[in-house]
Amino acid sequence: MVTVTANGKKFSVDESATIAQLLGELGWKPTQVVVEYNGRVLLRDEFHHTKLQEGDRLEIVVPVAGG
Amino acid sequence: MMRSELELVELSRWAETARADDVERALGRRHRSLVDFAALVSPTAQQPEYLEAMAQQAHALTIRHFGRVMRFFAPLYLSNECINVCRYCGFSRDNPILRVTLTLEQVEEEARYLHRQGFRHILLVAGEHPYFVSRTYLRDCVARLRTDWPSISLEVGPMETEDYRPIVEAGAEGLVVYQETYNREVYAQLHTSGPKRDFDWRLETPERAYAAGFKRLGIGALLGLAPWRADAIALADHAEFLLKRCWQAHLTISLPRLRPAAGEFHPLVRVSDRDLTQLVCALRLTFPEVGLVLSTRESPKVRDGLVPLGITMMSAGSHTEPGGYTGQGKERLHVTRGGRLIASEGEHAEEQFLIADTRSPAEVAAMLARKGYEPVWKDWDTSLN
Amino acid sequence: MTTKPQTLRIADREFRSRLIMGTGKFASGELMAAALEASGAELVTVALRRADLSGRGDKFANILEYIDAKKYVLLPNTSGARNAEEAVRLARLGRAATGSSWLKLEIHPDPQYLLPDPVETLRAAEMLVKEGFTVLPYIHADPVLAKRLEDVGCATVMPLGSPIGSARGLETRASLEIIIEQARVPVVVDAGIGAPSHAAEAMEMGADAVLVNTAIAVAADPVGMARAFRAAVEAGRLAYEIGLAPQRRYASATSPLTGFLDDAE
Repeated sequence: MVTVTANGKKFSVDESATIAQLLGELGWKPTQVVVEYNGRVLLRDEFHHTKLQEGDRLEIVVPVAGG
Repeated sequence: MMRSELELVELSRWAETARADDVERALGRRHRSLVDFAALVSPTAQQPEYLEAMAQQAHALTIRHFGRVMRFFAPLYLSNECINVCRYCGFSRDNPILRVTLTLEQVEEEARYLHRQGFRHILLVAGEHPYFVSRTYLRDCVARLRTDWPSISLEVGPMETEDYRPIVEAGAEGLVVYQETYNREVYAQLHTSGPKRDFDWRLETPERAYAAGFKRLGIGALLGLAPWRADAIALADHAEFLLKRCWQAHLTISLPRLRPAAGEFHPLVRVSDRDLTQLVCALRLTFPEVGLVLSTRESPKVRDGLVPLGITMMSAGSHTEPGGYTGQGKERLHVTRGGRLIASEGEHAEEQFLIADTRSPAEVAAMLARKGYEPVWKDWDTSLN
Repeated sequence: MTTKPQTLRIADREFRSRLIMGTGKFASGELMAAALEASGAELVTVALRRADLSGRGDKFANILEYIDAKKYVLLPNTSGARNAEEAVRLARLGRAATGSSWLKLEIHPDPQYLLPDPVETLRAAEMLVKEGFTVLPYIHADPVLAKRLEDVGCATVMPLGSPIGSARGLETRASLEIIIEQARVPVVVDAGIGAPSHAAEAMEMGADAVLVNTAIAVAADPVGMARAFRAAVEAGRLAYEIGLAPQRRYASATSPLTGFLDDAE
């Protein structure tokens, strides 16, 4: 297992889990969110092949209503 | 971006036919557009009751924005050498006139004379000549005068931004460049040889000067070269653009009317006192915060009449030839032909134009005082920065 | 002659509508979508928030489900950013989310009045323009700041009429007029517009567009209120283009100031 931080909270995931798999577990479809991964914003198709490593930092963000 | 030539032609054609309600709408507005300006320079707006209404408002606006003051300045001609051929100018290369370029010491001597008259704002004027009036010569002139002169402006041939920078760093604050006429066809007929033939290069000079750090920009048109209403509308469009584009600079507009000069050029278009008055008022109403400059080209009667209507800067006791104030440079008078100097005797170097108001600065200052204006010999100090 | 309404040009796009809509504070996504349709707006703001990671997920959390990206230009904002760096991070996320580099730059560290921080906004604007964003900065009605933002390449300036959600209208009227007079980019009055009359006043003053959110979202009938704002913006703009009637007539019998011309040649 490896531990990553997403939106400020810690999660432990399988060794070779991808971002897409993490999103699934958290109830989000890739098309619904955008992800900043270790400070860099990913393109959606990178979710599937980016493998999570120990200490990774993610911001998982969703567009919401706003003025 | 400035308006296209087509738009400006249409606007000046519209101005010729503007009706009373167009003029009244323009008069009633607090913020006036270029269309309002066109209405205010229309023949209709020259009817006495409209012209007086324009004058009343122009007077009130000028007092509110500038107060009861008149900024004084003096032109100092450095050189009457020039490589351009301009059919209306005394300095035109093809005029076999007596020419001279003052040395730095002679420039200082002329400046001291003006300083004793009370002036603190000086406008260095010179023909365009890469050798006699080089960039380093201009920078050195400014550097010499900086300590005594809080405000130094230049009216010389257009340059690149990087050429202007050392001149700004030497202490120059303002740059004046008249487009002469905004009518491209007439411009081409009048400027037949030399760098001045490039209309657009000259038009963009204020922006290049702004980029180099000049904080005062002066533009203008020589009234009489082309139909004055069309030139006025193009000039106003240029001003509107510069106010937005070069927003940290103070803009001034000058309205020189053609005067007799060497080469016997006769104005193509007549611009009456009434036309000039209308133009001054229309500019003041459309651009409340822009400085309006009146030189000694105008007669005492016209100058005194225009003082309350929007003029904010005046020269007095001017000479328009190098060495005019103290006779400096007489020993080096020459005729320049084909780039060669031919020594020549003579009373003094040729003026750029004959002046019409020969009153001394003190006399003009007294007139201003009688009209309730205070002459501002010295504005704020650039030496702070 | 009838005056054909001029289109609004921002950066490389043209818009028929001069009403920009915010999507916040609506009771539901459906209601927001209906009001958006009624408003005729073509430019729509959205915000960005951290997704809820409690595992429930939320099918309706993503507002883009309710906005047809083919019909509307999405304008993600940087609300929540407290400084330039955070705004740049949010901008990049917004670009990934909407696929467009248009951005409403708003940095308001003070949660009470949500007034924009001018220093961080100018800093962020410069960084974002360099990264290729089309920046529409929300600012206080500060004419010098507006010109500085124009100089760094912003596509518009968006001065407030009064604080966000205050519905107090154009309290910054005098400064707005100066900004409008001096601007070389479109001026959008954003924030504080509480009634259609405020929107019409902004347009009559010469503003290029208005951004409205709270006043429509919290109305008893948001769809109806959207229609009211649409009409007000169109009315105000048309009146501006026609040119308002002169305020006063004048008369002056004598001619003291131009008398000197009487014997003129």
